[in-house]
Parts: sequence; structure tokens; C-alpha cells
Amino acid sequence: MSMEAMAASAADPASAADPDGTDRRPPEASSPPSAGALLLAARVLFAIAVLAAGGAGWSWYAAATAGPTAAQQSRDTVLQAAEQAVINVSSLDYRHLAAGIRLWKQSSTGTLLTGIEAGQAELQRAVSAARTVTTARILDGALTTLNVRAGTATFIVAEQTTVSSAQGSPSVTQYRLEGQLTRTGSGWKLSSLRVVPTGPAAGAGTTPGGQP
Amino acid sequence: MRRPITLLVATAVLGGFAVWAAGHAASLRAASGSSANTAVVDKTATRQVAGQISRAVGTIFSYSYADPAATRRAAQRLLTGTAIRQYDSLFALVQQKAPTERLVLTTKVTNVGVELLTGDRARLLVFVDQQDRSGAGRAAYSGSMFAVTAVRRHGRWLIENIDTFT
Repeated sequence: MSMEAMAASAADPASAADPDGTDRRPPEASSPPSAGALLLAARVLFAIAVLAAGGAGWSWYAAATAGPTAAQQSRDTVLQAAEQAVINVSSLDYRHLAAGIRLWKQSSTGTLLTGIEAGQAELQRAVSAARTVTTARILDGALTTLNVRAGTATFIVAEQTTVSSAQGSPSVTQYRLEGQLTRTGSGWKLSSLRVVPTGPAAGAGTTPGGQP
Repeated sequence: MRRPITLLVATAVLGGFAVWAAGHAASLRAASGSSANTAVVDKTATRQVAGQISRAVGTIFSYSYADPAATRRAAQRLLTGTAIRQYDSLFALVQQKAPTERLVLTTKVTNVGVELLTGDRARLLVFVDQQDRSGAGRAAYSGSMFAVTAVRRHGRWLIENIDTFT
């Protein structure tokens, strides 16, 4: 390209015809196929936007309305049942022995229930004679295992009991308890409960975070 | 041309909504993920915090008059926040009488339960069995219980608070 041609095209771009004809196309030649392609592209983009908006909207709705999972709810329900059952079988008032022992039996099942029934008469005699009122409070508790399908759970609780009698001041004792729950036709019940032993016999505790 | 323009505007609006909704969904999930209690339910995470805290408790509450520095080093590594002061007061008597009585204290966790596990925070109930041997004397055993608040820093669970129910 000559210097004159360059000067001319810079001065008047409309009149400067490109000699090669490559970097400028006549506007009327590109219009019909390009409009169709643009429209198609716009429709495709629109379809993608519809899908994305639908997906993100659903995701937002699901996240906004999500609550605790069924498993989390079961864990909380079962731990609550464990703590209430422990309170029930730890409390006894000599003035309401029959009602108290009925609650013990209602809260337990299996070998624990058998044991309560076996020791019931002696317990009633002893508590009547000592005239004691025992109340219990849970300081802390946790499930150590939970198998909802099998209907079994193990737990530990820190418990504090207060034994009041006619003579002397009430005695307060803290206990380390471990127990098992079993699901029955009428809810989760205690199937075993014991004070965690201390000393050489204590080695056989539950494994940390253990499986059943 | 009206149609393509309408289409493009609708596309832009829907696209904008998609980005906005996705962002909100993500932040909602992040918020609920850190507040939802996954104790027991998330077996792997529960086992991990229970295992690490059990080992930590066993280490910091075990002591030998022959090597008191080992326990001190472990405590510096495994404790954080208020637990440092709580530990010092719980352990002051042991450290005081250990050299003269040639004390060896061995602590083992017998039971541990994770009651709360939300992201990098946890609360555990811990039962321990302690064997206390001094000089040539016979071993004495005692059990105790406490609740531990744990925090995870750089992938490791540390003890932040010790509640002895007193």
C-alpha cells in the first residue's frame, strides 16, 4: 500500500475501499445468516439461564427450609429418653413408694426390669425403714453409640443424687453411670445401668467414640 | 428487532437470579453446617474428636516425678484458652508433692461421649481412671469425671475448657 493510499483511508475511511477485501465485508452480505445464528445463540443462552435459575432457586429454597436431619433428631430424642429414664430409676420417695417403683419399672426393660422386680420387696422395706427421699439431677450426658435400625443405644451420664432423711443433712453424691437403651413397643427404655467401676477392673470401658 | 432483545433481557435477569440464589444457598449451607450438631451422627468425625481428646486427657493428666517436663510440654501442646489456667490449678498439688513423694500418676480414659460437635467445636463427657503410685507404696485408684470443650485448630483437637461439675 502506498503512502498516498494510507493517507487517503485515514482521512476518509468511508471512501477507502480495501484492496484485499478481507477485513471488511459488505454489511448486507452478513446480515441474514448472522441474525439466525444470533437468535439461536440467544435462545440457547435463554434455555441455559432458565435451567440455572430453576436449579439455583430450588437449591436456595432447600437450604432455607432445611432443619435437623432425621438422624440428628433421633440422637436428641434417644439421649433425652436416656437421661429421663436415669432420673426415674434414681429417684424414690418413701412416702410414694408404689408410684416410684411403678415409674422404675415403666422406665426399664430386659434384665434391668427383671432385677428391679426381684429386688422390689427388699427395696421397699429398706426405704420405708430409712425414710429417705432421693432425688436425681443429670449434670451431663452423651450417647456413645446409636443404632436406630436395631433399636439399641449406649450412653454415659454424670449424675448427682441428693438423699434426704429425717436425721442429718442431705447427702449429695455424684455418679459416673453407663447404660444401654433398647427400643420397645412403648418407646426407648433402660436395659442396663451401672456405676462405672474404678481401679484394675475399670479397663473394660467402652472404646472412645466406639461402635457397638 | 424486539424478540432477541426481550430474550437477552430475560436471559440476563434469569442469569442474575441464578447467581444470587446460588450465593445465598451456599451461605445458608455454610451457616447451618457450622451450627448443626453432628455428634454421634457423623461417626468418623465423632470417633476422631473422641480419640484425640481421650489421648490428650490421658497424656496431660499422667505424670512422673522422674520426667515432669514431658507432661508440661504435652500440656502446652494440647491445651488452649481457659483450660491452661484450669489445668494449672488442678495439677498444682500434684506437681508440688511429686518430687518428695516420688509420685507416678497414670490416667486412662475409660468412657467418652461426644454430646456436641459443630464444625470445629465439640463438647465431650469424659470418665477417667487414675492410678496413683508414690515411692514404694501400693497403687491407689480413683475415678473422676468432667466435661471438656474442644476446639479444632489446624486439624488437631485441643482442650479449651474443663468442667469438673463442682
